[in-house]
Amino acid sequence: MIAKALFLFFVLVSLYCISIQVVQPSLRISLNQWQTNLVKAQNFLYTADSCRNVVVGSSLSARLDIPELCNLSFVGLSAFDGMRMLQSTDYKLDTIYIETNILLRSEDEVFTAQLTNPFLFQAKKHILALREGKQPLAILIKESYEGLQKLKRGNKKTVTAPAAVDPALFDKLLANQVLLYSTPPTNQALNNSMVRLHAFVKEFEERGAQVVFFEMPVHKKLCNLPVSISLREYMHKTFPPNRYNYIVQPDCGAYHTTDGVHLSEQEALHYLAYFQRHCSRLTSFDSVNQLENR
Amino acid sequence: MLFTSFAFLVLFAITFSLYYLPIAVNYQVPILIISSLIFYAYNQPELLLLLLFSAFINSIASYLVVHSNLVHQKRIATVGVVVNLGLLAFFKYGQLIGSFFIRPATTESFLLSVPLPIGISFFTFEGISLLVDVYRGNVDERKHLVSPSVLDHCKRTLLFISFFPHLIAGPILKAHDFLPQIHVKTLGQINVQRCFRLLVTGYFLKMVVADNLKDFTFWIAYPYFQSYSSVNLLVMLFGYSCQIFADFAGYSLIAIGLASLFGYEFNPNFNFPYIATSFKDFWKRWHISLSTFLMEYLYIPLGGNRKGELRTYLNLLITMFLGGLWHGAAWSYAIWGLAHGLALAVERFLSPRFALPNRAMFRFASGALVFGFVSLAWLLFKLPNFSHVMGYFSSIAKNKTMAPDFLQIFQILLYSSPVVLYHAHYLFKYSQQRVQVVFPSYVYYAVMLFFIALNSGNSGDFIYFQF
Repeated sequence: MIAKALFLFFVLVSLYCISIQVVQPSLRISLNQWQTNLVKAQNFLYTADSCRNVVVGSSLSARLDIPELCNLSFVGLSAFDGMRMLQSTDYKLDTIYIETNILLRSEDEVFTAQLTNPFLFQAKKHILALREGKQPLAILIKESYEGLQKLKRGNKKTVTAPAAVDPALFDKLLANQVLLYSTPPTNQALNNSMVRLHAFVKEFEERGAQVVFFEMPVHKKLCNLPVSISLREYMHKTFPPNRYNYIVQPDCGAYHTTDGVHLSEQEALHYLAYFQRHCSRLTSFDSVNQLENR
Repeated sequence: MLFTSFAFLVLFAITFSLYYLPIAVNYQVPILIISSLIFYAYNQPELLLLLLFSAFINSIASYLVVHSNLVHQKRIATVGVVVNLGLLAFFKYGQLIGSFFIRPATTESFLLSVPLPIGISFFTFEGISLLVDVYRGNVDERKHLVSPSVLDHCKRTLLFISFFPHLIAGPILKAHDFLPQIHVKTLGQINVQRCFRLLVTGYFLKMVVADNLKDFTFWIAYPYFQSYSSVNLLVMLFGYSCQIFADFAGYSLIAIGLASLFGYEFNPNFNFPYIATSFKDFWKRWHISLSTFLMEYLYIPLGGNRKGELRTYLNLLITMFLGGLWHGAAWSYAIWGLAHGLALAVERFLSPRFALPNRAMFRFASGALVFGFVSLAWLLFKLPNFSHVMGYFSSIAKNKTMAPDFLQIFQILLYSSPVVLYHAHYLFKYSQQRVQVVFPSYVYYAVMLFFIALNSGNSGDFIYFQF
């Protein structure tokens, strides 16, 4: 029984690996935030050879999506995870943009280990089917769900508008964030974050990269609460603005969020234009007009 | 160390190879002990001392119980049990006790800084089992539990407590089940096919079902659940029920399979719990090693059902309340235990008075009721803050008009389906209807291996590690 099971297992795995390698090498499907993070990270590690400008951050900056930048902002994680990934590679960077909103969240060691484990790294590099974006059940789910949606829609082409945020729910979510942002972080937590960030920044500078800090806009009620203020103060103390480049947080009142901290798709584009205007002053790329036309 | 980690694979391969080497036959017990200590120390090396201390105390106390006169036996056994409970109270419940009874900030912060040693609930209960078994046993039974040589007894006790397959998340072993099994093992004694089935099923349940469901049921957490529709909230709860089963039953199957590879047999820890048609039945099928432990070492000593109806209900409540607290130092666990105790007591009160006809429809309805209650109660595991649990229920009631996220529902149902099929397979196997098996069994194992290799979720801690 065991021999037959193992034989059949090898046949099935081989067939799947070959079919992915031949038919769908570029297929990438992610169905949850962990998978999305891994797919993004693996895509960067295995294919993004020409990336010279990288954004690292949390879900807040995950929507900063433009061709000139590689975005290593991960949902549920922080800038430290992106920096740790870059540290493990010998990437030549021109500029690294570090989001400073979520710096009190330390690096997720499980995430890093999954990407940097030497055995898994090599295996996933060469066998595409082992990568998270190519899981058979994820493909099955996505394909059947999209098939069902098509059947439901028939031939009609419909454009779905982004779902409106329920005001009562928004208020609750915002109230939660206000509560979180109102508890001042301890000096020890702030110091630890700064020490860790300083080590990363030093390393990237030694590698010849320009470091730019940026703070994403959040709901105006959160902009000046103790967490935001303490982080800003510590950042300026550790990385003085006269020595480091900052893209300062724009007027929070000009942006709408879905839950107090995350910008909607439309608002993310709005911020991107602001972000790019400042980037173009600091670095070589410039596609503000292109973006503003989107 | 996780059973699903690369480090564990290496440790296992080395241990297994050395264990069955003909020249190492006399060192099988030390090989397992060393390997188990490495397994335990991998993440928290500093807490190895605690494990060794616990094993030492239990070895000495159990040895002294056998080799002292009747007057001292009870005293020594009691002191041993109290030391075990004291360790558990200090390391596991220190924060909870501190937050209630001790006010000075320094004491509180000291208690908050005490680390929770992984597996302490399991090895402490095993220590108690040894002392109670030795104390209660007759001369013949004691011979199997305590060696004449103190050194040999310490070695056997250390293996009993630290044997890695059960060390950090059970099943909870009883001394009278494990200690008589310690003798020289040979490769020929292993039922390789059984081990293969256990390990493949266990790893499939853990890595494919539980680890994938985890990323979809994550949104049960506060405050995220507030933004989901009622249907999604109910489906997530169903998914969490399947996840917690797949996680713990998967772990138990791996533990049983691994132990079997070293020649040790553990009793089953799960027996298709979600087909239970009564709460009593559920507790005979879920985490069997804990429920039998609580039955043998708590419920029966409290008087069980021998002291009248009211006392029986009280004993059930006390047993389940403490069983709930065993899971963690938070009142939510105590409430969870109390809810189950109450359900058991009500069922015991009602069943002789309102006997339901033994028809499939009624059995199905009872099963659905038990599953529904059990699933709602799991929420206390996921949301330790009781107000968040109430918030979840209120969101189920309020978010009816929200559009359901069908993709999420589809995913949860798909990843939960192996748990449903697993139970259905068992039901049909023992029902009168004959079910035609479409494929030979090796096909199912090959498919499970395929998914383990290509569709495993993000490897996370086993849920029961925290207990």
